[in-house]
Amino acid sequence: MKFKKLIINNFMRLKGENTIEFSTLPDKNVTVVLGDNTVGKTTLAQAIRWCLYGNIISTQYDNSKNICLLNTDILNDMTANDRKEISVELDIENSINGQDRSCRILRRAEFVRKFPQLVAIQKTESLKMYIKNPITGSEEPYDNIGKDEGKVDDMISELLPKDLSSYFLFDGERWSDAKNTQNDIKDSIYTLVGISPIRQMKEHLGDLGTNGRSSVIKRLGDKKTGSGAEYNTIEKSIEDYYGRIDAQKHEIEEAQNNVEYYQKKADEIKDILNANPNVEKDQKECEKLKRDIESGTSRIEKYKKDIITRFSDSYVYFAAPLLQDVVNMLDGVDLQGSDIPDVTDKTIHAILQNGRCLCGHEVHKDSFEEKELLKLLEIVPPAKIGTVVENFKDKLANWSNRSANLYDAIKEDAESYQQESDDLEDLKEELTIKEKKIDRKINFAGERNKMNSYLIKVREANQTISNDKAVIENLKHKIAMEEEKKKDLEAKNKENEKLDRYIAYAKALYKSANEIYQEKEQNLLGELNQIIEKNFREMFNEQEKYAKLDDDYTLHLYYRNLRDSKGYANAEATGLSEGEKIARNFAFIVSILELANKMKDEGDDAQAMPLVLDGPFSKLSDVNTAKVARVLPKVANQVIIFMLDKDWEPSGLAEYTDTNYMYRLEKSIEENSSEVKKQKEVAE
Amino acid sequence: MNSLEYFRKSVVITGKHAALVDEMWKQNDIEHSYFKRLVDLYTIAPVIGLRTGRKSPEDNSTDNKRTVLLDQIMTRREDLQTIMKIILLTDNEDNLTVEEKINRTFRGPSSEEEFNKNVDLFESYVRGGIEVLYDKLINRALTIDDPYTDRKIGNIMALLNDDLTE
Repeated sequence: MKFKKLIINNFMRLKGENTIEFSTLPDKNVTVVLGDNTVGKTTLAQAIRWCLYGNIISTQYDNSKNICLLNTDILNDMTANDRKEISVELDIENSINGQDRSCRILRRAEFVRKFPQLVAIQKTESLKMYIKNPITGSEEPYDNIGKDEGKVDDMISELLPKDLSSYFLFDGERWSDAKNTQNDIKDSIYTLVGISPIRQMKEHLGDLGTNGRSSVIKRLGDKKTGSGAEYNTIEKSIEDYYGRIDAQKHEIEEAQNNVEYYQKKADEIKDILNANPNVEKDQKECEKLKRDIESGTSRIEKYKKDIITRFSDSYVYFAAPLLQDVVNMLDGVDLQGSDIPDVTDKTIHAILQNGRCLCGHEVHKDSFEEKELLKLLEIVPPAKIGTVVENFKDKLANWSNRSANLYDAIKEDAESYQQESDDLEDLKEELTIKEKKIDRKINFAGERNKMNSYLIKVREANQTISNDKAVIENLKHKIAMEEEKKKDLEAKNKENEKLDRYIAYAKALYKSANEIYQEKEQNLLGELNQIIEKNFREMFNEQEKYAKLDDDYTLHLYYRNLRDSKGYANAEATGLSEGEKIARNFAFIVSILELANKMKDEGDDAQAMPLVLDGPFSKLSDVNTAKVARVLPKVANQVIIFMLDKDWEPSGLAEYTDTNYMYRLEKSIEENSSEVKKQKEVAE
Repeated sequence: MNSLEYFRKSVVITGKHAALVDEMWKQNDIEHSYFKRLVDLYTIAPVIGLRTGRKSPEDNSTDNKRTVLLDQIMTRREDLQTIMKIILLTDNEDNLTVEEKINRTFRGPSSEEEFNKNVDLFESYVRGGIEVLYDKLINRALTIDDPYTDRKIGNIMALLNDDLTE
């Protein structure tokens, strides 16, 4: 990825439209903007930062609140109703998977003036991105507002993560800032050198959340349901139910055989009994008697039931003798008469509170008067109970009526029962006599007894059959329910099998991601330290100290001569000069870029980003400037550098710079603003 | 105050009284019962207890238990309340004046203590009544003077004709 062009309009020090085209040449990859102090070199770096992230580095200004993004000369000319726009456009050359995905990012803001003060107030801000369609070649616009809120922000974040801006956008004072080598530097380095994707993948698959609770593998596992054990239990109970049904069927078969057998036996005897013409008439009479007995029996059962039902309500009857006494008692108390017209409990409470009666009598606590008033309180409204008592008396009257009817009804039923019962006894007696008579005639008493016992056995067998059938129905129902459960489980198991495959796949992915990550991580620190040490030595010709990245990825300087003598191996160099701090950070940044490039060459996911440097050499000696500058075009794929004239010669960057990409910042004499011009046009 | 309303809970009959109840009532078996439902027995018993002046303390000598369910009690609630009133007006245990009896009957219990005391009074009549009913319905044998040959009907009629004096 390389920056192609920067178009700045009315932004901070730059009035009107200023355009810088950056070199994207492979060999002469440096673009330089020269300028004196205070002409606005830093504005250029700020413009890039504002365009990408909507903010500027404010620490180098005395009062960051007063930073005005609108050019001051423009603001000066504005009246109360004027609106002025600032804009920064950054064109980026980019390719993804070999396809041209170049884009433009355009950020705009509109200002009004808080007239007559020289204060600008921002009214609106907009961000757009245009991406080249690799097929049509035309640009597709993307918005950052409305339904696409934050979309362009996200796209920029993918392209040039803000967290990484510390490694490509060096705007200003932070050259010596220790923060450059701390904080989440480890994450940033991982991203730069391409470890992050594999680490994110590893985390996503297996490590996310406490003990990996939110990871893909765990969540897939959570989706699994049921278990083999449950399935086996169901299978077993179904089997068991079928076994029991078989047993019942067998029992039914047996019972059916019995029914047939005993019925046949009984019928044989009955035939013999009926076939005898001498007893035919008696037989018929017997049959009729039996029917009469049967219906009589069911009638007396009914009477008996009626009696129980009525007797169940008999509390009104038993209470009746008490009722008159109760009513007399209530009548003896004058509940209504106690009611004093228009006097309520409120009246009494008022008297009690005042301590003086209506008649003027004083009412003292615990006095006779107070007791009388309290008694009165119980009978005046709303405490009056006259109505409640009247309702109760009505209820008692109702009970009296019910009780009279109840006794008569039960007695009638009891008499009917007795009558029927007596009749029934007579019928039974008559039947016995008749049967004896028949038996005597043909002496079939024995046969009749036998027949009766057969019939009992038939009844019993039939009972067994109907019981068994009910049991079978019940078992069938249970089987159906178990089958349902089984189906559910089978469906779940299919789902589980699928999940198991996913989990196995995720685990395998996790394993190899983890291996790659471990390997890369282990190598990274060592490799990076080698490069840092080399660069620090080359760039600063430093013999005494060396720079080293510790396990926590913070960069420290150590004394070389102490390294080899035991006991002082980690004696850190403290109290560094400004120059040493700059040197340390330079070595660090350059080393990371070098490592990233190396990894990219090796086919890793490392990022290749432009390097934007604002006044990096101002605090370095000419010798060091030359050493540092010489390294930059080699390790970065594009270098954009804003610098003082005095540093140009010593930097030796001319070798890497095409004159078409040399610019100069000039300040106009009358105004406070500056302008970007091509160096060769200025020279001409 | 809902908690101080009578007959808002199911009732448990315990010990020997539960055993006596079992002789007179069997669930879903009117053939072998003197009452259709257990709540019928529970409604008649306190009246019998009151008529005969028979109160009986709770017995917990055995684990027997019979529960009169709330939904059954709700079908008899109004009549049970009437019986409670009759008991509160008639019972002389505390030697109350007529006015005091009327107050405790119609103003409702003024404290939980009074509420519980009244419930206990009712229940003790229930238990007394159960004992009397058992005596008259189960223990009693038919005599030559009974006009009914069926023991259950004979005893019911005898009970209805009994003057139930104390």
